[in-house]
Amino acid sequence: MEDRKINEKESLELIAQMIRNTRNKLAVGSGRPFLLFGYVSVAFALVIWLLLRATDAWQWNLLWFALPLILWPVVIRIYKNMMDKTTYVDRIIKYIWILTGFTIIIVCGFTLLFVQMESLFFSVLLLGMATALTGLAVRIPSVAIAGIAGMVISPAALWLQDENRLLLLVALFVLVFVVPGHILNYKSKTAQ
Amino acid sequence: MFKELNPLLHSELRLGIMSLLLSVEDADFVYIREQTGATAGNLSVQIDKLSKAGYIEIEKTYKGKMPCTLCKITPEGVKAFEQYVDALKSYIPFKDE
Repeated sequence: MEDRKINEKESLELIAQMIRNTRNKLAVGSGRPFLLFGYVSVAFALVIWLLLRATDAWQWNLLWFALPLILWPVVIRIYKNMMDKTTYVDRIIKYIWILTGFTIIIVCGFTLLFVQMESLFFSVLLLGMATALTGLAVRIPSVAIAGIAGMVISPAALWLQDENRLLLLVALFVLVFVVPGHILNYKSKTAQ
Repeated sequence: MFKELNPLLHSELRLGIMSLLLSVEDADFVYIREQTGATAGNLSVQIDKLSKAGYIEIEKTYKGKMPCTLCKITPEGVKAFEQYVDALKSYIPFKDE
């Protein structure tokens, strides 16, 4: 494009073309935050599972609180470097995940300090919901289905009582983070 | 009756920039350059003109260690764009008219 005058028809075509170009195009590597959260969460779950089996001290569960502290700054950095534009859908997705993260911290904090709640069930339910909403917002049904599948399976955490429930958590992290992460990366690459 | 077209927007590159920024929250300089296919120098001049008119906001920031220029359309820019499209309609013969 140059700094030249255009006729009225060209103006309308140009406006339509530019709007089409920006609509619903995923940034390359959109799945990276999902993959980071997914693989690190799986590693955390396995390490805590091993520690609980070895020592039987419930306090190892407190390690979960370190997860957002470690990952949030890294995810924010990845997100900032990756995005060459911000769309309205990006903003909505960002707030879905911020709110989900805060809600999980509140639920886990309450469980620890005041009322006994099934924090594992609530956490996975909320993570599945956030993944499903992300999939719906970016119009990738397979991501939404992975999130909904996570939500459907999450009540299984209510029946498993010992440390083996962490193995269920590993499977759910793969379902709601790792699988959608790879799908988003693939779709963003092929959409360019 | 033909309405007058805003001369600031009635240019290929400036209209391209405005149309692009209208459909996103913000976009960086490199992305706008890729989408418009303009040269960096020309794009910089046109962005400066739109900014001086109050149609877009420019934020100088960093992506990692690289400097990054973020552009965002202002409410004034949206209004000017709407008026431009409205004026444009007066030039287009619609079938039902």
